[in-house]
Amino acid sequence: MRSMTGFGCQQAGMIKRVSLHSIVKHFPGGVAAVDGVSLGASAGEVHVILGENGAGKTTLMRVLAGLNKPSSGHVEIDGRICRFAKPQDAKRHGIGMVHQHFSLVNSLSVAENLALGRIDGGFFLNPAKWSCYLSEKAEECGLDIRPDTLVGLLSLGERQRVEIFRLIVEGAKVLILDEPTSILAPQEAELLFDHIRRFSAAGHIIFLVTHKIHHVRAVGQKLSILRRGKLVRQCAAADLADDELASLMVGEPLASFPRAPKDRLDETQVSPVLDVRDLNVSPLTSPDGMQAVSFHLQPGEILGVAGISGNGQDELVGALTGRTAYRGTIKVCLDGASRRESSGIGYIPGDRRSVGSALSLSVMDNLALRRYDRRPFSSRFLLNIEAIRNNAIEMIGHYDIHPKDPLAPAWSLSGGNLQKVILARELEASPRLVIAVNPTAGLDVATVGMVHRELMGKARNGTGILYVSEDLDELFLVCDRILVLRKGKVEGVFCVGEVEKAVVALLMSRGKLQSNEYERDFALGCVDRDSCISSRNVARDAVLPSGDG
Amino acid sequence: MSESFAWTPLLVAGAAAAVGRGTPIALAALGEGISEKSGVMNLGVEGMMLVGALTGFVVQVHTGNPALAILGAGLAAAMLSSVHAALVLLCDANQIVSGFALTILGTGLSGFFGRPYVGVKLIGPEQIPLPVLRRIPYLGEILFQQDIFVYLTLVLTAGAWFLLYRTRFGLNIRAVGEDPEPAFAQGVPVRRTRFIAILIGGFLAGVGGAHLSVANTQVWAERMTSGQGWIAIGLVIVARWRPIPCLITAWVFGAMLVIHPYLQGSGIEVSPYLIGMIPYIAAVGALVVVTVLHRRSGHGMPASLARQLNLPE
Amino acid sequence: MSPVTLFYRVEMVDVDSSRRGTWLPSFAGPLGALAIAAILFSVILVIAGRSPSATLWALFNGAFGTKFGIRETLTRCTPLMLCALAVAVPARAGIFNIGGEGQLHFGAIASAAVALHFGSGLGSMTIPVMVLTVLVAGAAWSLIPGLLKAVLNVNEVLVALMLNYVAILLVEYLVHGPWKDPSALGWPYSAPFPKAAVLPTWQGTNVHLGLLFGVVAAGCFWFVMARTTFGFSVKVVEANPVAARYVGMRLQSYLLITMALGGAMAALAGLGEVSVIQGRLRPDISPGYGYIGFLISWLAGHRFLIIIPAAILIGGLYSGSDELQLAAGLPSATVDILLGLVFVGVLLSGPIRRWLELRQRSLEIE
Repeated sequence: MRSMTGFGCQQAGMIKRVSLHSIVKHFPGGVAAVDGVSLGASAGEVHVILGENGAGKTTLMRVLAGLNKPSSGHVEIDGRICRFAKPQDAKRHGIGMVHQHFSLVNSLSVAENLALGRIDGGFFLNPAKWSCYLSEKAEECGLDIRPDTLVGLLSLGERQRVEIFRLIVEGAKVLILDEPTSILAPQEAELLFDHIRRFSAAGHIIFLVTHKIHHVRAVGQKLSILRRGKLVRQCAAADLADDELASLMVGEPLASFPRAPKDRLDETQVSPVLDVRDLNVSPLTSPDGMQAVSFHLQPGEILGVAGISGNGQDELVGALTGRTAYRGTIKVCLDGASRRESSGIGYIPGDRRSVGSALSLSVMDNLALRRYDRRPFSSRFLLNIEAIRNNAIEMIGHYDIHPKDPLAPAWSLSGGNLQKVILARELEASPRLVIAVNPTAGLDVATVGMVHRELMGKARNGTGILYVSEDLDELFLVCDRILVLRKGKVEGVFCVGEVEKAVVALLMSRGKLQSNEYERDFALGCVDRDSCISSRNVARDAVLPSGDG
Repeated sequence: MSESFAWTPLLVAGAAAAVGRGTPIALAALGEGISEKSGVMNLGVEGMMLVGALTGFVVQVHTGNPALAILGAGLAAAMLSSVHAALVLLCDANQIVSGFALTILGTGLSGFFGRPYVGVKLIGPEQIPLPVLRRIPYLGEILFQQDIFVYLTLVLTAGAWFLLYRTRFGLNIRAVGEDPEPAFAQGVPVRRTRFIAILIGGFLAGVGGAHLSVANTQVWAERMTSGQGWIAIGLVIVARWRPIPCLITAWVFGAMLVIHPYLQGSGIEVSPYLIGMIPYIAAVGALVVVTVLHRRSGHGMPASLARQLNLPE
Repeated sequence: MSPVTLFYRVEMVDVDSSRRGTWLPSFAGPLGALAIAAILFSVILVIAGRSPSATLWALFNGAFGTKFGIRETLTRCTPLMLCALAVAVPARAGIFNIGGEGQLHFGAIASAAVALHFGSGLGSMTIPVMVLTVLVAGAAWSLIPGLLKAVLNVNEVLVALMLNYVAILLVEYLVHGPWKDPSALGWPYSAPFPKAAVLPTWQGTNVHLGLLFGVVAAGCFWFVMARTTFGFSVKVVEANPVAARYVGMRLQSYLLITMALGGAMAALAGLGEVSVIQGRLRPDISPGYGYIGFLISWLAGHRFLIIIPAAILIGGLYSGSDELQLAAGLPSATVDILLGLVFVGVLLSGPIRRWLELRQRSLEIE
């Protein structure tokens, strides 16, 4: 580790206090992402903002970084009220943010990226001089930066370091880090925490946005817990124990000390619809892939797969749907019908726009997408348009899809209606096994209810459903059993009535509890495609200068 | 086969002719390269060259001043390219269709307004041998006894390189061409950058066209560029979007165009049309090679070339 | 699908296959575009010292007003229709065929090969043999970029563009060289086609069998795309290759089949031009039909049945401006201006379309 005598790479003029006052942020559609949150931090403080996905943490920080304008409330820096019209304004005040998804151009070098959009700097570029300057600055700050490497060749941890370095080069005195460890390997995360401690020692103010409890333990000094846009607790980091933190995030009190999890398999001798043994999949989007996973799914049962995305879900689903190679056994019992045939496996993918549907085709075409080359939709090579149309009308009626026109192009459908189309298509053939990945992501309450009802209805009729989701509330509502996935392994399988939500939450993020010690959890995979896309959209919205978020 | 001794003056003369002949394409390719570097494909180069050819011709006929001709040609073509820019950047038009439409429009406009100038002869710009440089063996005769357009091309190529790699604006162009979203996040004005890049491309194409009419052939005829604008687009790819290789490949192409009389003079009898095919086939070959070789590391194509722009605005 | 819906939808396919479709009130878009084009053209006419109204009237009259004009329009629209189909078929599978010009020329070469080689020897079989050869030749020429794309992922647009020039030069080479007609007084012409090799025409005009081919082909393509499982597969491939692969389709084969069909269509256009219009192989058989065909297909949203009226419209533009040349003395380049303006007009109406689209999307909650 580099020796650090002083952290003198910042000029004098540190900000003494930054605070947010009664910030409210409404998004179109009326949802209040942030509802009256006030918090503040002083020089040298590391302030952790803790909460589940969707709690409003990122939105709040974007207000501070000048990327979103608050619907009401204001920002104060050293007692002066500041209004930011665009991110450059926040930058000039010394506030910088590292987003969850980077803003680096991969085919340019680090130096070139750091030269982009600088507030100062002339028309001409002297690459050699700039690189030199950057190297020196990096040395001063103790960051390992090689200015002339192409960003595309850097590891994710290195890229994040570049982003942080950018803040230093731009003279940021307040650093906002949004879910910084979500793409880091354990050692890189440890390095990051070191840097955070050094920055704080040098007088910077650091806001750390996260949903991981151990971050609080690692570097946190003060703590704000957000839930559904509201501030539920603000205190020093040491004031609360892990389980209290978990229950505050999740919103239910812990009944008693968590029991050791028990495996409860129903041994009644109906042959399982899905029998997975020793499944090994090489990493796709999770660092650990899938490692020796075994479980089974009974007909008529809904098995939830809980886990932070990037812990093996993509690999699991990929293997089950035949898209990814795997080692081990997957046995699907389908009464003689082959996989993916009409009465076989239904698949509701996590990404409804790019994999689940063909957006430029009409609704009725999408509904026929799986079985169009079979009766009744076609005979020989001719399509039976009438049959396709009638099927569409029936589905539209049954699932209450808007607009009602079967010829409407799929891209004109809202997310909820598109999901209904996919649901209709996959469930109509009464498959014996359904694999549903985040099927209610981004949907309104009514549609969520409909999805749940349909799936549970199918389960009552004997379909086995594998329900992959990050939303614990939903899993506890819908599933019979829950399997917790972490780092590609099964942490435990529970019956829903016999376990606390907060226990599952802890298992998801930290693994099995030890009695006195905390196991450090550094294995955090990449975000999966679905939330990548929606987060990326969110990140895109985030860099909108003024107007609205 | 004559002795190698007698080849040399022939080669040198041929090379000099090739440089002259390839200059229009070089300019067009240079301009198109800058435009594409910023992510916008301009298939209207052919039309812009024609507009420039006519304008340059007209200005030269009326003023006899090649510098004014260059300026006029460039401005006229830039105006045409601004239509493309407006369509693509403001109306979010399909880049290929817009480019095509402007080629047709440029062809039509130049043919329409150029009718009175068909058959008019003008005195082209004279060759200006550069005092010291012309004495360099071989290179002197090839490069430094040319007309002002050629020298301008040399300067502009160096200028393009400098712009792209040694200025902030050039960095912006490259960033916007690779990945406009992070660039936008860092405050780079994406649309404005592309607009200027397209205008530069149009300007250079116009100057290239002017060279064709004013210096090379010294006449005006409808559709006189006969596809050289399209060649320029292909050359940009072969040159992998870098200014200096653009120039070299254009000269090589120019060589193909002038080689026939030299071959005939040496007793080799090949149809000029077959020879004419070589550059195109070579371009295809180069494209295949470059694509296959660079499957991993990318073939230098600006990643956001011709993609729809999806900025949060 | 009722006829109304045929005109109701215009789907725009963009360069990188990012799809946008739009619901247009039936004729508003194209009419608006024509209006814009007419206005801009009038401006140019005024600059050139001409009367806009008289010129525009002469244009329309020349295209559709006289018997001769209508015949000219139909003659002109034949190669345009075929070249537009040449683009539309591959476009439905998501691949761009800019090689129409080259395929046209290569088809011309193929037809000349048959005509000159067999003379009248095949009698009434000459035409079927010629057509078959031409179809194969066109398919072959278009498969060069097609295969390069399918196998090596080489950009098909650029390869096809370069090959266009190769084909044009090939024609030049042949008529200046091996196929040069000694009795043509030094002109670069091939020997004239024997009568057996000339496509049947309608009542002594230049409107030939190619038009029928085009219309029938358009109808067939429409049927296949709209009513067969093959067509459905192509739709899915174009709309979402990922989903297509998930359902088990082999993308390359659709790419290649549609490309070959497209090349065959363009080659037919070449056949028509040399067999009927020119009567022999010679340079300058096409003022860019391949490229204009691309524009027409795009204008029609790559929809086969709409290509027919679109091609007639543009054909009218050509014959109308021929009339302008004769009657009003305007240069032949006028048609290019008109054509260019029509497309600029269509592109300018883009923002209006998008506004409509955005209104639709405001239903979206995401």
